[in-house]
Amino acid sequence: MADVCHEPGPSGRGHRPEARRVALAGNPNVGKSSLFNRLTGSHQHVGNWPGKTVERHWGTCRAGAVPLTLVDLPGTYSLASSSPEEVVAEQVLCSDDVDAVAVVLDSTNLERNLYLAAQVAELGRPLVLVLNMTDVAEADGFRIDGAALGEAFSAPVVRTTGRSGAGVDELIAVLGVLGRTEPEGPTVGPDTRAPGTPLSIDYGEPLESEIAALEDRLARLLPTHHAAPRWLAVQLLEADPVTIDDVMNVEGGAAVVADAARAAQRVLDATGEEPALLVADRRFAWANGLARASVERRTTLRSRTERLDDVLTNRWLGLPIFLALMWLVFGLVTHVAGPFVDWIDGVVNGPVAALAEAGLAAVGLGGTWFEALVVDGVIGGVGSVLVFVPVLAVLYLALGVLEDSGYMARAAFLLDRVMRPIGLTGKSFLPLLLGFGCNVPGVYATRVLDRRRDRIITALLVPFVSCAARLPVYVLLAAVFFPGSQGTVVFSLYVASIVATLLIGGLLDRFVLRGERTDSFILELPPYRRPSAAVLWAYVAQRVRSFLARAGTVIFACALAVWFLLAIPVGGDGSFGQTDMDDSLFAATAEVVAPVLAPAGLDSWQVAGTFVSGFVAKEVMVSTMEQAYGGEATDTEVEEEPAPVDELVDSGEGLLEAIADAARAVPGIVGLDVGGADADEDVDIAAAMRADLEATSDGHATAAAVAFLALVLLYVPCMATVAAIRHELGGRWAAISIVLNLTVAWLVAVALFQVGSTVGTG
Amino acid sequence: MDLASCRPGRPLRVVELTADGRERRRLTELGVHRGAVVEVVRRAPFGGPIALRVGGGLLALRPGNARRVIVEEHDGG
Ligand SMILES: Nc1nc2c(ncn2[C@@H]2O[C@H](COP(=O)(O)OP(=O)(O)O)[C@@H](O)[C@H]2O)c(=O)[nH]1
Ligand SMILES: [Mg+2]
Repeated sequence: MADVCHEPGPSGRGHRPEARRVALAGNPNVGKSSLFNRLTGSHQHVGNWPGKTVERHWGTCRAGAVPLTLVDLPGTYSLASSSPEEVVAEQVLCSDDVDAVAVVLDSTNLERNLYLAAQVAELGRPLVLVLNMTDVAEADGFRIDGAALGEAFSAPVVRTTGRSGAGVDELIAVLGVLGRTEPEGPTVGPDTRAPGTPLSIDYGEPLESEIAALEDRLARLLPTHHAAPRWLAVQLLEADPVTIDDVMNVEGGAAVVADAARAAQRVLDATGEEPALLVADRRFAWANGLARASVERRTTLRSRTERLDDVLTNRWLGLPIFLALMWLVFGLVTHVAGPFVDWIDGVVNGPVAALAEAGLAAVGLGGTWFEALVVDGVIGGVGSVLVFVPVLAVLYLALGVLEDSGYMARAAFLLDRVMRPIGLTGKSFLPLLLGFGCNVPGVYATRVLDRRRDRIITALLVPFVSCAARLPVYVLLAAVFFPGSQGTVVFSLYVASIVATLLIGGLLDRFVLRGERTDSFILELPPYRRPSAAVLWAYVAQRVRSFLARAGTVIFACALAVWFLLAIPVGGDGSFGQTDMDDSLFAATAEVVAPVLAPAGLDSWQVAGTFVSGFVAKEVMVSTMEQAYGGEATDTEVEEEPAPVDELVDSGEGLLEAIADAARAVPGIVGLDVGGADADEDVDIAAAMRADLEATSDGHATAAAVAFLALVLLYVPCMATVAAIRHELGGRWAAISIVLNLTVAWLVAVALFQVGSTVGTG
Repeated sequence: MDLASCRPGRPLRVVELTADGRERRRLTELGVHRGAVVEVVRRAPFGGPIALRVGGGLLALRPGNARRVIVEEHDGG
């Protein structure tokens, strides 16, 4: 997913022979990616939340003269292949792509971490134990006997702090010689174990005799497999899919797999337990024993995490605090990003456009359609991409703080109950909530969900959440058709949005993605940590860059397409780039679409056109309505423009002002201001709209207006949201999202109009 | 008794997991295995998840999951 700085690619087979390839394995959230970034200078996503690294990432560094290729594996609790991350981890650890493994451990939670370490050691590849989080362990009074651990694993032990980089040099030195068969390498730590003597845990009878029988056959069958035959035998008894695949792939493998299944059945019959559970129990007993023998905890002080949790997840205070924090995030996104958005908008459409115009005029292209294309089409299109940058940057910063501090997992804990009825977990609440500000970051926030099914459902639900850009449209329509009760109308629409989201969620959960439903929610609550500035910066920069590269291009293309529709005359006396809106291809296209809205009493090109342009950005719906009903030309005459240079100076001041505005906004955030939409609309436009809807609805304009509002609330997500869904889930789901919204919106609007026009007085 | 019905603040020993398949595996890997000593730390409001102390860490799980973990009072050590 994320881009990697140095990317030698997964098949390092053709590399110079001396390159050492090392996999970083470990539980989620132990600091693997932090160490990987330290080692390779990359910027992999780091965050205090399990399940961030979902793909493997490659990077390089050097241990003296030895080039190292590192792979950052997704965090796993075991190698049982019961999740996609575990499959990836097991496949890499068994592949030709690595020579050795660094198992990263959270020093403050060794008992659980040693369970995975034991599995890796049983697998039998050369290994180093990396005791990370040394700083926290020391602060919390842990004392860890590294020599005892090293002896139990016959592996070197290195202590590191991923945050500060302490111990990383030593780790590099160890990695340079890890698993080397050549005797001349410097010996570091008590690594006397030659590759090929894996860890062996006693699993007791009747497992041991079954293991022994399978082990011999596997050794003969797969002489070059990288994993130890004993480990393969255990995995087969546990019915591990990756191992079964590996064994099935060789001649005679099928018979061994079948025999292993029979052996597993015999164990089940004899003990009443699945071999997988017997193995897990024994392995845990081993890890526990080792943890007890090697870890001493001197203090029994309540940790900072426990004290913070007493407040932040308190039965009574937890939810109010969560809501207050969300209010803060909302406020930051709207009030702090807002001035920068205006500034970017001003610069792009002001001095940059003016400079381009001046330049084109100098070469004799002033006033031509080409000028319009460059200024309105290209520069305007770039602007419509760039205005998202401040919003996303502020949002990601806020999300980064919530995530890296460990709060995000608490929010999921507090809100899980709310999401349970629609088959989601507490983690889905945040993306939906963010959607009220803007759907785009809402879609991106689905990344924090660890199951693809949940990501899909949540991303499909985000467009049903009423984003801030729809508000001015509600206000305008309410002012025209329901004067005096705008407040009630707007409030009802927000309630409708929540109801629609929950209903659609229930439908998707029960009928569309039903098969993968699970009622289970088990989440690790990581310790609270102070967010690190470097991590936050990398997080924000990486995501904004990726937005520009992937979603930005789509948004730009759509903006350009709409410009062409508006520019091409199909009637009247305009020329290309200089035509009235009602004579443009845009109006003609809208005319074609309009009859679809007839059952909702809205068969007019002005209404259809509003929806077409609303696809580009909901923000432009109001101005389209004004143009369509006011009948002005799209290409408003360029006013007396000041010299471009002056304007650049102005925009410099504008930036300062934007910063000042942003700074001023911070204290005022709590009083979230939803106003800004001017209710004093031109009387002519209001009259024109009312007349239009009266005509299209056979005199039931009120019912048609209700249908109109429902459409604004529910119809297609804007193109930026579609681009975001495509970026996150692929084109297929983006298309499904559009169809889903259109269908729901149309059905609801038609139902409202039909009922309203028969029942109501019109 | 099962974990869902335990009051916060007392050490408990896991006697048996009645969950099966993936869920049982996940619980085991996260440290909720037979013989483990755990403690309910708190409950989320309105019948939400339970926070459980396991080894050096904290785990959130739904009451539904917790019902499938059978525990007994654990005294000492
Ligand atoms: N205090 C401390 N925090 C660390 C250390 N290593 C990583 N972290 C933090 O632990 C969290 C998880 O780190 P990450 O590298 O994403 O873990 P991964 O899931 O194993 O890749 C982040 O908040 C890191 O900033 C460390 O040695 N000490
Ligand atoms: Mg990671």
